[in-house]
Amino acid sequence: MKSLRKRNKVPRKSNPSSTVEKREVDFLKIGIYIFLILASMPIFLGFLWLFIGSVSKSLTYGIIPEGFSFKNWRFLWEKPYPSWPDIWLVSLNTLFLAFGVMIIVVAVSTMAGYVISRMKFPGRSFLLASTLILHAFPAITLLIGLYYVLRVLNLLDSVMGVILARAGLFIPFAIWIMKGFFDGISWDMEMSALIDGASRFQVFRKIMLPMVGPGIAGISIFAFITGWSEFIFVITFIRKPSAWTLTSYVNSVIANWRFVDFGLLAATSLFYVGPVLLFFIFTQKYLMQITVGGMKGGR
Amino acid sequence: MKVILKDLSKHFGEVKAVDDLDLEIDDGEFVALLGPSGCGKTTILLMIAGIYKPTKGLIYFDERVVNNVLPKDRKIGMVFQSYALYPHMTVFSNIVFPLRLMKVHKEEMEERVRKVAQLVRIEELLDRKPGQLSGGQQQRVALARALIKEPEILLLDEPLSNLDARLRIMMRSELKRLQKDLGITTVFVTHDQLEALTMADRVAVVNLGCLQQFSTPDELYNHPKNLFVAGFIGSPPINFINVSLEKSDGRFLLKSRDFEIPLPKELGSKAGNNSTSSEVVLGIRPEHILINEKEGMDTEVYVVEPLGREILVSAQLGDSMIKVLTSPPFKADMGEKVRLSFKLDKIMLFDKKTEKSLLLDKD
Repeated sequence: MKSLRKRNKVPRKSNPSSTVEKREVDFLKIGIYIFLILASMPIFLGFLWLFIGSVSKSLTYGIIPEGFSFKNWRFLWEKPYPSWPDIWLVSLNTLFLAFGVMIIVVAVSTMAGYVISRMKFPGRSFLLASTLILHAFPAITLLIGLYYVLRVLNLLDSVMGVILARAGLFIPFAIWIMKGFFDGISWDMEMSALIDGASRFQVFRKIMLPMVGPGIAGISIFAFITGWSEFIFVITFIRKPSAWTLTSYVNSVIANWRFVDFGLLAATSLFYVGPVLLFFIFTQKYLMQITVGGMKGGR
Repeated sequence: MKVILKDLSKHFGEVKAVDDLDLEIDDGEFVALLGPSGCGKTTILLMIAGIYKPTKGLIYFDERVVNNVLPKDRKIGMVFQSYALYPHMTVFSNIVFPLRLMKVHKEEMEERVRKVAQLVRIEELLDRKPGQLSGGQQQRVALARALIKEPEILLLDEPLSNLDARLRIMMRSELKRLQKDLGITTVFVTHDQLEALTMADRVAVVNLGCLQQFSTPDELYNHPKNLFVAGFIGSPPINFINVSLEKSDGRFLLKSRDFEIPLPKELGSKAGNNSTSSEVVLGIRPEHILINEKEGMDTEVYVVEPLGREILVSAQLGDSMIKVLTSPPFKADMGEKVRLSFKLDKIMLFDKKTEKSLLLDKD
C-alpha cells in the first residue's frame, strides 16, 4: 500500500489535470456517502430507538423516552409475568432450534448436494426440479398441513417439531447451493484421491468436504439465522410456555391483553437481536462467498 | 509390470471413445499415447487406472485381469493434467495422503516423504500450500504424490502441457531420466508429437479411438504405416502430393501434371504390388527435398522463413505448396524460380483409398 501511495503522489504534483480529476471523484464519493447514510437511517434510527427505549424509565405514547433506568431489563433475573417461562430457558430453546435446523440442513444438504452433483441415478433431474419447486413454496401455505403432520407424529408443542418443519423447508435451497459448490470441483480431484487409495466415502469426507468448506459455512450461517428468527411455525405449533422461543417471548410482550410495555418490548427485542447481530458480524466474510457458489448452482 | 490391453472398447452412449484397441506395454517401458485432442487417449489411461470400466475387452497387469480391481488396489500412481493437488492440504500432507490411507507407520511415512521429495527436489516446499507454488513446482508435488506409494505403473496425463516452453524442455529430459532410474512401467498421454518422440521408448498413435501404429519414434518417423501417422508426426509436417502410379517399359513412374518421377526398381515393384489402384499419395518430408538443383521440378518461391539452424522454404508447385527445409546460407526472393528434387530413397507412398503405406510388407 505504501509504495502505491508514493507512486500516486508523484504524477499528482507534476500533472495539474489529475488534481481536478481527484476533486470530481471526491464529490461523487460524498454524494454516495450521503445517499447511503440517508438510506440506512430508518434501520439505524430503529435500532437507536430500541437501545434508548430499553434503558429509559418510561416511554410517553410508546415513543418518547424519559429518564434512565435498567428496569426494562428486569426480565433477565425475574419473570415479568408469573405465567411466563424463565428467559434463560427460552434462550436455550431458541439456541436448540437454531442449531437443530443448522445441523440437519448441513448434514442432509452436503450429502444430497454431492450425490446430485456427482452421481447418475434414475430420477435425478426430477429430484432437482422438485427441490426447486419446494424452495418456491411459501411456508405459510403449508401451515395447516404441517400442523396435522406434527400432531400425528406427536411433535406439537415441542421445539423438535419446529426444527424438523423448518429444516425440511430450508433443505432444498441448501442442496442447490451445495450442488453448486461440488460442481465447481474438478473430477480430477476425485479421481486422483481414488487412485491414491481412498474409498468413495473417504474421498467425500477427506477431499470434497474440506474443499466446500465455504459453502458449508455459508449454509450453516443461513440455517442458524433462519432457525433463530423462526416466527410463524413457533407461534402456530408451540403453545406451552416451557417450549417458547425468543420469538414467542417477544410476541407475547406485544400480544399482552392489558397494554403493551414498550420498554420491555425494546429490551427483549434487543436481547433477541443481539446474538444474531454479533454472529453476523463475525461470519459475514463467509456469507460473501455463498453468492459465488449460488450462481454456479444455476448451471 | 506388463500392461496388456485386449480388444479394449469404451463407449459413452453412442460415442465410441475407444474402439477395439490392442496394446502390449513391456515391463519398465516408457510409452506415449499420442493423438489429437478428443481421440480417446485419456480414456485409455483412465481405464488402465480403473476409473472407467471398459465397455468391452480385457486389461491385464502381467497375467492378471484387472477389469474389476478397484483403482486403489491396482498399485498405480497417476499425475493429472491439472495436477489435482488438494488445495486445503500442505505439500507434505498432499504427498503423504496415499500413505495415510494405507495407515503406514508415522516414522516410515516421514522417511518416505523425505526420500521422494529429494528425488523430485521439493524438500524446501513441504510446508507450503499448493496455491503458493508455481506450475512446475505443483507438477513435482503431483509426481511425488504419485511415486510415494512405489507404484508398479505410473500414469501421466499431459504432464507437460501446463508448463511454459523452457520448463517443458527441462522437464522432458528430467522425466525421461527419472523413469529410467526408477524403472517403473510408465504410460503418458500427450497431443504433442515432439514430447512423445523425445521421451518415449515406444509411441502408440491413436486417432478416433483406434490404434494407428505402435512402434519406436524412429519407425514412426521414417516408416509410418498410414497417411494419418505420416501427417501427424513431424514438424514442419510432411508434404503430401496426389500422383498416379504408372508403369511404362517395365518401370514404375509417379506422374502428376507438374512432374514425372521414375521410381527405383525395388521401390516401384513394392508399391506396384501393394497398390489397389493407380491413385497414390506421395509423401516427402521437408528435409528430404533438395533445393537449387540443376535438374528437378520448376517451382516458385512463395515465402522464406529462417529458423536459425535451418531455413524453411515454401514453394509453389502447380496447385500445391511444398515445404522444404534447407540449411543456411540460402537466399531467395518471393516469386523467384527454384528447382526442387526429392531424395528418392526417402519418399513414402500411400494408397489414396485405404490410406495405408505401400512400402511396408503386408502383415
